[in-house]
Amino acid sequence: MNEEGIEIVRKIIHIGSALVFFPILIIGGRELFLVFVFFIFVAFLIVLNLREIGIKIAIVENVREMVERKNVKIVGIGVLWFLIGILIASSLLKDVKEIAAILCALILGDGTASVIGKYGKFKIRIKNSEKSVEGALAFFIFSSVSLIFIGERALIFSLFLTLIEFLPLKFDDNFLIPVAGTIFFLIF
Amino acid sequence: MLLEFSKFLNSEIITLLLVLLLSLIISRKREDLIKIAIVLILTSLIVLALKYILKIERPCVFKEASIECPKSYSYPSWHAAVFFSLAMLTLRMPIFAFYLFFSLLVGLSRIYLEVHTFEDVIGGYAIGAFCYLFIENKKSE
Repeated sequence: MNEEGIEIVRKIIHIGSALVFFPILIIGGRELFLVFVFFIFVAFLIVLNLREIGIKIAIVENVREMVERKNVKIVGIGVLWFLIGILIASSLLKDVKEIAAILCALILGDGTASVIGKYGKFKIRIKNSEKSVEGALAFFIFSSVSLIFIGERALIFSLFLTLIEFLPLKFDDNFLIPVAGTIFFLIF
Repeated sequence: MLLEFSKFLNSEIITLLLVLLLSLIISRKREDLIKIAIVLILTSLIVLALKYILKIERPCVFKEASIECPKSYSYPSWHAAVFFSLAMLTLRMPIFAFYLFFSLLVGLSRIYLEVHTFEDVIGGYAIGAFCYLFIENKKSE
């Protein structure tokens, strides 16, 4: 599969993960969600370890070929950052609605921002990173879906995370967004 | 038996000796030991900083526990963070399963002693994994 195909599959999985995470959080509650995410995290680490020591599982290898970017230094690093970010957010925040708002930004906001941003015409260059205005706008709009969970606070929340996402920070977005969201809710 | 194990691990000296022993087992070269030291120091610093920023009280403050309640704050668990970062350091080794199991057991012992909540332990694991990935990422840059 070519690079563009890989990126499309990655984004479909990224946005599609909402179908798994949201129902578990909203129906099962925070504790069950935390157990579920931690279980996935440990299972993912075990699969990574088995792969490293030479035990390759066919189905995992097929999926990896479909979604892993070429020349990646650490296999599965995007998923690890994603899960660590969610674990920090859901272990610190007590309110299910706040965790759901963070998932909106992380899954819907970030997922659509990178798809739309790729075809954006208005680019802004900050240091070595180039971001599109359309991508940032998409991030803001789709993060604002959190309005259904946290009310009008969602606008300031989305604006804050859009700024964070726009900055050329050296952390992975999958980690940065849930951690920045957690800090937002701990302060406001 | 879990109570004895939990009390045994609650001792700071025992914990430090165990961390040292587990670090030495996985160090083949001097460079490995330096990397392990950096990850463990970073983990400890972040845990300490978070404890004093967040100021979350331990569960044993509110109810009687089987041991004396530690004076420091609760979130995140230092024991869970340190042992999980050690487990992460063995991610590319066959011994990973043992280190992972041991770190999960340590986390369970902290909840059993009521010095930490489930959230503190999960938070500790996440911080431990973060520190390993952060250093690994820096190294590969």
